[in-house]
Amino acid sequence: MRHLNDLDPTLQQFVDRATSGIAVPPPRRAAATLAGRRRAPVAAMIVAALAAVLLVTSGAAAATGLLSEVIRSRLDALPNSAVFYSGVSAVGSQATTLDGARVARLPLPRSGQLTGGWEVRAVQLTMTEAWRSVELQYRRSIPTGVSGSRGQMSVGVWSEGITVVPTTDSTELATISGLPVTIGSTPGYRTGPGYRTARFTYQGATVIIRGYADEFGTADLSSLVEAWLAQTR
Amino acid sequence: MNTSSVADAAESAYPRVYRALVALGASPADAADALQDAFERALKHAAARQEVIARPEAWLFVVASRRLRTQRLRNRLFLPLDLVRDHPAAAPPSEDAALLIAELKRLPRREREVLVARYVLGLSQRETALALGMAVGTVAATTVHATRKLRERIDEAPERSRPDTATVR
Repeated sequence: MRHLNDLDPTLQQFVDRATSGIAVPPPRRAAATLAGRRRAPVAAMIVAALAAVLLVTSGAAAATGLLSEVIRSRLDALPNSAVFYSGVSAVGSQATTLDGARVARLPLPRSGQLTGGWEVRAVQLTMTEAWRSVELQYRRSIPTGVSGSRGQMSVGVWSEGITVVPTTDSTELATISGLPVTIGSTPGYRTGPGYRTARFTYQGATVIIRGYADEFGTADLSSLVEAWLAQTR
Repeated sequence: MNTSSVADAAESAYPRVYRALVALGASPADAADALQDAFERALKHAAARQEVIARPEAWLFVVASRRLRTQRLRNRLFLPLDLVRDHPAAAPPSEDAALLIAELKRLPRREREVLVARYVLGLSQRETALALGMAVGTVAATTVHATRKLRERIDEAPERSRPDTATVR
């Protein structure tokens, strides 16, 4: 027995009309075909992945005698650097250099240094038939007196042909060096720090500069955008 | 409930639950993903004969909305993975739908979930309470309170600038 008498009939009519205006795509697979699917147990997948990583890492270290180097590079690794492109590795993502990334024909800076002591540490190039992207990871010495500073930031440059979805919680518009720039902010979360982004379109490419909120104020991001544009023009 | 009857129930509940997820604020792509995942779980549930799913709409809604919350957390932690996902183009919602989504988004999560369960899914107070893990009395009080709030805001909406559909995720 349904009890609908506590609902507002006018609102119900509006909701019915409104929800009918939401287009419903067909299910991606017939539900019946899902019954036969078998997914590997999550625990087994995690154990297998860890074993594979351990095998590859130790094998490489043993072969090259660079165990200490492997450990050091792991400590130095930028956050998220391992997962940035894990979803698209099958379409041709590879680590390269700044000059090597120029094959993507995207607006990239002339040198690996940016105003503020930033120096490029890693470059990831992704090429597909439809779009191209370059992710630049920057580091700098952690400035003293800046609480929560990590000395890290990244810049992503995306060609046309891919939809880059903003994911920050709040945005504001600014004009920097004559370009409209969207400054986005996401507050810190229990499991991670907040971050700020500057997003703009330049020479047909979407550029997103991303840094931690406790290190980047709006003014810092603006300076970075100016520096980026000066290096790219 | 056997696998084929769950599949039938899931198919028939799909449009309503999908719209409920979008009304909750999910993007079309995320809503479709979450619902697909909930379908799979429903089928596994039925295959294992753990228990009968009394209201498939409610079951799918709860499982899919939990998955959406998990997905949002992942998106916050792994921003670039979300960036590279090429979202299929979805038809924009109607003006009324955009207004409803925007105004629901302004409500606290619990109120939003209760209103969507009651008005969009058509669940009773008891079914909503079971689905959302709340007391029936709390569902009743939340329905009255949130209904009044939503109604007032929607009534006021034409006087303000209408929300831009492009900003409704």
